[in-house]
Amino acid sequence: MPFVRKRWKMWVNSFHKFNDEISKRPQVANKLDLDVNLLYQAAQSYHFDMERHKAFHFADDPLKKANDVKQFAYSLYWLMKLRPVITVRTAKARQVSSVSVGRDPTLLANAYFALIVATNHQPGMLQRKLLFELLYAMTYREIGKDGYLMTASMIKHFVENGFEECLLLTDGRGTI
Amino acid sequence: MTTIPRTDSELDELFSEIANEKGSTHRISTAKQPNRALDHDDDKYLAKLDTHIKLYVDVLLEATEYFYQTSQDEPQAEKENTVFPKAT
Repeated sequence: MPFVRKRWKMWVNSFHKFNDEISKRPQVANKLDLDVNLLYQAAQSYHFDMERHKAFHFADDPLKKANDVKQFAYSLYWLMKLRPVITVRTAKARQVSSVSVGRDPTLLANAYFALIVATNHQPGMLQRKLLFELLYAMTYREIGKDGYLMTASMIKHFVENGFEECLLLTDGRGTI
Repeated sequence: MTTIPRTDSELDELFSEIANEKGSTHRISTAKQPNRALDHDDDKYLAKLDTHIKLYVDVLLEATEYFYQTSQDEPQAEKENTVFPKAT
């Protein structure tokens, strides 16, 4: 399973770096851990989707790589679906714990990790209000693979062409 | 805290343990795996990973503060331009 192994190892390394970094932030009182078996399932499912995509679209060119939209969407989907990041509540954190997402960022640990992995496939950097919209949708809405693919495609289009190139601005009455 | 190994050889060993546990339940068997390219450039991914994570952890935490603002029904503190940056 060389592809699944490589993906799994890259994601484990990504988790280590993510965990090292986020644990330094003062607002993060809880500890994070990783279920490596769930991560394996996510890597395997990601690979399965990629293989299906390539078998259909790249039948004549097996060495062609999937573009970053597919990488973004499928990694986001499977990491959010299987949620391999575990929050471990410390005694200190329990004293100040809150059910408010805004007060306890570790409630979103899986979304953070999925977004960090997925966005590393893209150029540019998403601003925090867009990231909030993504975090909100990933947490409270039901998003399938097609939804993630469309989101990734739109973001890529905006990044490459600029926002102004993608909107037809009107005066509110449909007049350009 | 976490006991997940970090070195390449230890990760290989752990992966083999996990994969062997699955046995014949693999949805994609090695035998059926076609000779295809990896789906992304690992070197490129790893080269930017450190910087990427340092930047994104802070921005994600800042983005999370909007959850609290939203739950309090407070108007968002600032009207930001959400225009995406040009590709670099």
